[in-house]
Parts: sequence; structure tokens; C-alpha cells
Amino acid sequence: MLRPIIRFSLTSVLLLTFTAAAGAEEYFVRIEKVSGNRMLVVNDTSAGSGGAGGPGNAGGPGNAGGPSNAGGRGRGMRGGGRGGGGSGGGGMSNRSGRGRRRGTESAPANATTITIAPSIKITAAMRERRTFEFRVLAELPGGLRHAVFQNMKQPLQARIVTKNNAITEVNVITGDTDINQSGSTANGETVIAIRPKRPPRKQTP
Amino acid sequence: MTKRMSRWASRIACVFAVLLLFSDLPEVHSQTRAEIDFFETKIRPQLVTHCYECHSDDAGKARGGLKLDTRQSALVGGDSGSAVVPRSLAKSLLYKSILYTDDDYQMPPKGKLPPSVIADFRKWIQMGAPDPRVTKISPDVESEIDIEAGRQFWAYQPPRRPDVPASKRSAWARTAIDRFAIAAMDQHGLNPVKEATAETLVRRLFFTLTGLPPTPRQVNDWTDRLSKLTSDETSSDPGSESRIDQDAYADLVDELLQSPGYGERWGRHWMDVARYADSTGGDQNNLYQHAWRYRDYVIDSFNEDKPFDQFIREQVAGDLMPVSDDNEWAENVIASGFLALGVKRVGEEDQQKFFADLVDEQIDTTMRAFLATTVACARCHDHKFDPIPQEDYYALAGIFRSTQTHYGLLKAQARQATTLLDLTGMGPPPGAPKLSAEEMQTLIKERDEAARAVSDAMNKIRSGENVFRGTLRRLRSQRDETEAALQAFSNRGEPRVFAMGTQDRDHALPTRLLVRGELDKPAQNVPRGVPQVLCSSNKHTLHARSIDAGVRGEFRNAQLGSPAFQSGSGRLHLAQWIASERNPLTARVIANRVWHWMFGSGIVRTVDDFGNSGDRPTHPELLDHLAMHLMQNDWSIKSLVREITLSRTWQLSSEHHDANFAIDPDNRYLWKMNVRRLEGEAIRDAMLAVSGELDLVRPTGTYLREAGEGGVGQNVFEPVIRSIETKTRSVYLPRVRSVLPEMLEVFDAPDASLVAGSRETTSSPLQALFMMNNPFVAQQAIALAKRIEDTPPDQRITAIYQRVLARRPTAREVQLGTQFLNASAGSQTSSRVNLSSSSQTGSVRFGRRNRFSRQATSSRQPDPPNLLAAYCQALLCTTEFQTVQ
Repeated sequence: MLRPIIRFSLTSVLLLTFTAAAGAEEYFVRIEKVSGNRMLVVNDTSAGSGGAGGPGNAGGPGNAGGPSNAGGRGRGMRGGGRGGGGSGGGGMSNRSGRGRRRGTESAPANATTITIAPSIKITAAMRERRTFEFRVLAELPGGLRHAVFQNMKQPLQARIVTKNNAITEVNVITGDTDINQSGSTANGETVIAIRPKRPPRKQTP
Repeated sequence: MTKRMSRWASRIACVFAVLLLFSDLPEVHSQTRAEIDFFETKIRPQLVTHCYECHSDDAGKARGGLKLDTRQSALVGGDSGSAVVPRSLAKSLLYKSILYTDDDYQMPPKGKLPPSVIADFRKWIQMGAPDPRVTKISPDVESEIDIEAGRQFWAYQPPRRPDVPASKRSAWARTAIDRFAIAAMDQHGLNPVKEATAETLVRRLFFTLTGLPPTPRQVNDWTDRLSKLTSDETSSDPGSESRIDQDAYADLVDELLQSPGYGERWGRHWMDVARYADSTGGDQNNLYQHAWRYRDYVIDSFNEDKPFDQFIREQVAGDLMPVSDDNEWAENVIASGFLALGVKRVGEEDQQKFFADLVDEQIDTTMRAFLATTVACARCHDHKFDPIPQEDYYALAGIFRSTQTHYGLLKAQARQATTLLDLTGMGPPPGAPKLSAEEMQTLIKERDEAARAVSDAMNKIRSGENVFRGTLRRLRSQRDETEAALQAFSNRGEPRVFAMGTQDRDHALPTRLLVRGELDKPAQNVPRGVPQVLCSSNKHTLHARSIDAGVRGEFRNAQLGSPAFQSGSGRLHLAQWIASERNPLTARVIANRVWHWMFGSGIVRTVDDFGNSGDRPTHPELLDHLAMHLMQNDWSIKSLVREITLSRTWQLSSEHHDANFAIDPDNRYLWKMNVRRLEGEAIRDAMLAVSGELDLVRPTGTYLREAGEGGVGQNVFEPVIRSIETKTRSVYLPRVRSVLPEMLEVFDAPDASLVAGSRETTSSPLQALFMMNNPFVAQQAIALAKRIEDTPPDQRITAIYQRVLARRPTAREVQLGTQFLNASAGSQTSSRVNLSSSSQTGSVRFGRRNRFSRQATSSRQPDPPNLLAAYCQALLCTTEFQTVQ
């Protein structure tokens, strides 16, 4: 008598878990290039999910059946995949696009282009030195126009968070997260004060 | 359960689970990969380029009620109907409009799209309008507050100059303020008491305007001048019964308003409102080594009688205001330290939570300090009492989120550290002395040694040796601290000039309303703006304000430059909105605060809350009169103070009146002047002044320089802070949150965690015990006694009373004092002791246990007690000394 009840419970739990897992996902990627409102990303299999965040998935945002041929993809993602910003083949590697391209010149073969809608939150991030825990830091104002992307000389590690098949957040690991927040830059320089921005000159009446 | 039933149970479970699974998957799964690709490559870029400017959340516009930035909004459409109907070109208004065949619908307005693009839209609609833009993270939060009804509240109506009321006793009134006061007394059957004596008025004026007691000479001189009118002269002014020469009185007021003590006294009032402190408070309580610049800015602003609207603009957006020269630039940046001084939990690990709390603190302080409005209550839900929806909170949050706050601290000492602002060479003086060459070398050596220690530790780790993690952390902290200490000086040892303040971010941060204030529950985007109830309809967003002619005029008149806000945070708009004469609250709130500081209680008693849960004004027309007076006199606080002091209402005595007390025990209708206990700062300053020990020179920088950098209890220690001794005015004492100077703490100084427009006034045995036993008080008494020592004995009592209480003693007081001082004449050879040595030790003990007799050494007999010092201290302990009548 107990067997069917147990079977019922297990089935429900498994399916409920599956459902919950399909709600929010995170993918670790490497941002190769940024152009306008698009990013060229590569699945970063070397980056684990770390301690923080959701269920974590070693797959990237472009797995089987996903919007591109590259990397891995979360379970339950079909069709639209990246919701707020998916874009398939013919991405940045084949087009000059609007705006200057930033990042590395040659795109890896397994790269995916994703479009970042203005509503997507872009934040800085870091890994704890000792525990390697992934920690989300402050938002980067300006989104893809932030200096982190404008001045990128090499690929940036990042985490993409999706919910209900839509990208909700991109957390970018930068050496200099924000000069306003670090006592030392990535080069080890200590900066304790910065010059204020000069306001406009008063108009003489 | 039978086998059949168990099979059915399993099947039901599976169906249930499958339903549950598929109910969570979005509709997008019905769209093919190719369809989504088509939308992303052909349709979305066109929508972004040609449509979002007028039809999207991010632009803050929905022309025709239509938004096109989500699938849902495109399907729902706008005022004219659905924009997109899948598989129906005829019903899709979007397609009709891009065809340019209908005169009413031609989009985009800048010109017809190329045929290929139109063909793509046709194909897209025919294939079913696939659209993966399911971007609703949370449903929109709607408010049920009726803003229009809320605008009818008394405080949200613009102030109007009221008619001065008539009264049967208008001959009693000397100024417009008196007419309002007497009219209210008429209504409640009250009678004003008689005016205060000249002596009382002199003391009252000195303490109210400068926070210091008058010297005996000042008391004598001004009492003589104020009492110039003889009884004949008073009788020629029927109904007036004034015994004070008002012209001489006005001269005294003007003299006191010009004294540097005015700024120190009134600046301290404002610092209560601005929650000024020299530390972060919160979890780690790190010191702010540069907060003092804001303190000095406030004091100087009050002394210069800076127009209050200018004062507001500088504190909210000083760093953005156009300037004429570097001095002005530096001063404005320092003023913006107002936003950086608040409580912070700098040990917070979650940077986004820290930032959200910082923004919340700035919103709360700004709105309560200038507008006495508790907007921060709307962080998690609509305001429970005032017509302030949650959306208004996040509209303000968008402005402060786009602002960078620079408050310093070292990363080695606080997780949430920031940089400071470097004002070197722009005019402000340095806050530290120049380093000598040796000191410079010492700092460099310390820095190099610290860096070497870190390097050695890292080498050990790389070579496989075990280094304790705490050790490495400590070494890194030392390296950063020594490096920071060195960076505070130039290569030649000249101190650099740093300040706390704000700057705009390079880009504005979009802001979403957070359901229940939780960071992981964002709802709709909220455009930046100000509270709706304090604006005309639809004029609350920054966008609407930037195109409003009235606002543009205000920007022009205030020389604020362009009202464009897109590239900045919008703080300049916020500052001008607060400082505007059209804001119904600003002038009223500050006029009420001034009234509170003059009378001991405001016309609205809840000086920090003019909302529904606050008090109502006892004299609403008087409040409006004061607000109008302020605005029409160029927002001059001194002008308002002068107007109040010249009123007969302010010059009333504090005497009790039984009949009036029975009607109005709280003196809400001003039938007398309130007796007020002085603040701790004023009591301390008064003691130093009467003892002749007060140093009126403003100190350079902060006394906390010697205490070091870091958190209280970690790098900086409470006994070190409490051991700081100085004889300057109390406004310059270090104000570390939770480590206030003992005297100030005992006498109810606020802890500066929140806006504190009014202080509590407690009466506790601790205060009395402090005054009787504290060494500081004893030192002042001894110093005072020393000053009196050379006075002939029969004049000493009078001299002490004139110094301490600013009046002559009564005959009875002289008799009692003389008896006390002569009490031990029979048993003592002399009442004089070596006060110079006792004042050095600060400890003269009386009798065996009393502290006024010198402590016995091994071979000497104790000196006779210092009765004079004891008598002086007794007077310092009196209520009369600690209060102002």
C-alpha cells in the first residue's frame, strides 16, 4: 500500500523540482566582444557555478536546440531560449554592426551573439579570493556603454542569469570593478581620492 | 489500497505533474527557432530604431497609449486598438500605419520605411507574429492612492500671504507676528503676560542667537541701554506698556546676528537636521576623517546669511551647479557632503543591498530635512498615512541611484569603501599640518616595510609554506593603510585636500519598483521624478519638468544652466524643485524650524513631519506669513530671526499665570515665553565662557586626526576618542556615533542616526550628578573662582552672579552666599588656597572626601577647602544657569 504513495510523492517532487529548475538558470560565459547592444559570448566550461546563485548549469546559453550552435543550454529552454535578447546565427562575427566592435578581434567558432535589452540588469561581480564564491556587486550604469565594455582589451568572464527563458541579469567579473569601490586597482595602485568632474561655467547675465 | 486504485493514483500524479510543468513554461515554446531568429534579426532592430523612442518603457513614453517593447503590450495595443493581431494584416494597426496609406496612421513619423522592411513586417505578422519578448518579471504594482484628493491637505497647498487679523487688543501688537498671536489668544480667552526684564532679554538673546552667555560688562551696558525708557516715556505710548527701548534692542539683535557665534549656534541646529556625525555608525562605525569640512561649510553659510534656497541647492546638487571659479566649485562640492554623511553599514557584504540602503537613507534625509515628509515609508508599500505611492519613492530612488557617493574609508577597513574627492589646489585650506622631511621619510619607510612584508608572505605561500590567513589579511591592511596615509600628502609633504561629496555617474541607472522593497522582486520601470502630490498633475517626472516653461524659467533665474537631465542623475532638478518658491512645503518647513529654535516648540510641533500623522499648525496663517516673509526677503534666515526677535511675543516673560495655564498648559498659543533647558553644547560653552577658559578660535580640521583611521573598536578605540580634551566651542567636538562626548550625551544630544529637528529634553538625576561630580565641571568652577579671587570679598557674590547668571543677586542670595563662604571662618585661617597648582591637577578636595581639597601627600596636611570654587560650582548646577528664561 505504501509503494504507490511513495511513487506518487517521488514523482511529484521530481517534477516540481524540474519545474522550479526550469524557472531560473545561470550560465557562465566569456564575453568576447561587445558592439552596440549585442555581446558575443562563449560558453565558459572552466567556470563552475560557485557557491552563490541558483541551480547552476555548466551549459551555456546556446545548447542543443538553442539559439546557436555553441556551448550548453539550460534544461527546459526551447525555442526562444534567451527571451529578452536571443539572437541566432549571423551574429557579430559576420557583421560589422552598428557602433565600434570591442573586445578580441577573432571570434571563436563556438561563439553566440546575444542581444541585451535595456531592461536587463548588468552588474559587476567578483569571485571571493579564498572560497571562489561568486559574488554579485553593484550595477554598472550605462549597461553595455559602461567603461568596462568600452575599454575591454581581453575577454571578460561573466554569468548570465535567466528566468522563464528570459535573460534577466548579466554579472561581469572585472579586474577594476569600479574605481569608486576599490581601494586598489587591478594593477595594485591605491587610489584614495579622485578629482571631481568640473561643472559648467556660470553664465554671466 | 488496491492495485487498481494505486495505478490510477500514479496516473493522476503524472498528469498533475505534467500540467504543473507545462503551466510554468512560457508561450514561447510554441514558436520555432527560425521564427524567433526572424524576429530578432528583422523586426526587433526596426522596432528599437523607429518605435521605442515614443513607445517604450525606457523612453518613458507611450504615445497614443501604445508601447511596443513587450509582446504583451504590442498585442494589447493603445488607444486605437491592437497594434499587432497575429496572422491578420487587416486588423494589425502597426502594419497599416507603416504602409502610409491612411492619413491618420503614418508611422514612423520621420518617414516611410523601406519596402523591404515593410515586407518583413508583413511576413512576420502572417507567420503569427512570433515574439519572445516576455519581459514581465513581476506584474506591475498599482497604487490606490488618490493623489488629487491628497493635494487638498493643508501642507500641500501653496502658502499665501494672509490678511493680518484684527483684534480688540491690536494696540498691544508691535509687529504682524504679534497680531497673529494676539488674535489666537483672543480666540482662546488668553492674556499675554508682561514683557521680560532687560536683564532677562539680554541673556535670552545671547543664548538664542549665539549660544553663549553675556559677560557682566555686556549685561550692564545693554541693560542700561534697553532700559532707557522712563516711566514718563512709557505712559506716552498708550496700551503698549513696553519698558524696553526697541531701537537699542534692535541694535543688540543686529550685533549678535553679525557675531561669529551666530553661525556656530545656528549651524549646530542645522547639523542636527542634517544628522551630521564624524563616523558611519552602523555595524563597524568607521570614522569620517573629512566630515568636518561640511561642518565648517554650514557654520560659514549661516554666518554669511546665505539664501536658504541656495543652501538647499548646494547641499543636494552642489557638484553639478555652474560655478565662476575654483573656490566656488570646491565649496559646492563640500556642500554635497550633506548626502554622504549618513549612517552606513560598511561591513555589508551584499553591495546591492548596501547601495539600496544608502539610497534609502539619502531619500529619507533629503525629504525630511527640507520638506518634513516621510517619503522613505514608501519603500516597501504605499505610504500608510500620506498620499505618497511606492512609485514616488522609486522615482526619487532613480535620481540617487544615478549618483555616486564619495565618503572615503579604506578597503582594508571596510568592505564598502569608496574614494574621496580631491580638492587640492582649489582653495579650501588643508586640514592637517605639513609634514617635515623626517616625518615624510618615516611614512615612506613604513609603507615600504609593509609592502615588503606582504611580498615576503606571498613568496612563502608560493614556496609552499603555510601562512596564517589572518596574518596575510593584516599585512595587506597595513600596506593599504600606510599607502593611504602617504597618499594624503604630496611628495613635498603638503597635505592634500580631501572632502566627502557626490558626483553623477557616467550613466543614469534605470530603476524598477521593488515589490515589498525586496531586491529580487523588481516590477515595473519607474521614470525618475519627484513626489506627485507636491506637483501639478503629470508634472512630476523629470522629463515633464524639463520641458515645463516655469521650471525652465527657474533654472534660468537660479543660473543652473540647462534643465536637461538625460545625461545626469537629475539631482539638479530635484534641488531646484525643493528650493522652488512653488514648492508648498520648503519655506513653511524652514520657517517652522526657525520658530522652533527661537521658541522651543514649533507652530507645527512635529517639525520633521508635516504629513497626516504629524501635528497641525496652531497658527496656520502665521506660518504662511513667516514663509512668505522668508521668500520675499531672499530666503534670508537672519531676516526671519530678526523679525521674530523684534516681536513682542518673543519678548514676553516666562512667568506663570494660573488662569492661562488652566486653558493652555502647553503654551501652544504663546501667552508667555517657554522656559527652555539649554542644550549640552550651550551648557558646556557657557561653563567655559564664565570661567574664562573658552577658546573662540575655530580649530583646523578635526580632533579625530589623532585617533587614527578605521572602525571604533578595531583600529580606533573609544577611550582615545573620549580622552580628546579641548576648550573650543562644543560644535567642534568630535561627534562619533555612539561615542558622543559624555556631557553632550547626558544632556540629550542626538546620536545623528536620523534627522533630528527637535531634541528631547529629559530631566534626570544623571544630569545633576554629572554637574556635581564631573572633573570638567569642577575645573571650570575652580577657574571661575580664580577669576573672582581678586575681587573684594564683599563683592564676590555679586560678581559670581553677574558672571554665571547674568544678573545681580537678591539680598537674600547675598546673605546666604556670605554665610556659606564664611561658614568655616572660625576654624580656618584663610579661605585662599593655592589655586594655580590645584587648577593644574584639576582636583581640589573639600574635607576628607570632597574634591575641592588637595589630595594629601605623605607628609603634608590637607589644604583648607576652596569654598569659593564650591560656591561657583553650586551656581553652575542651578536650573537657572542651565535654562534660558
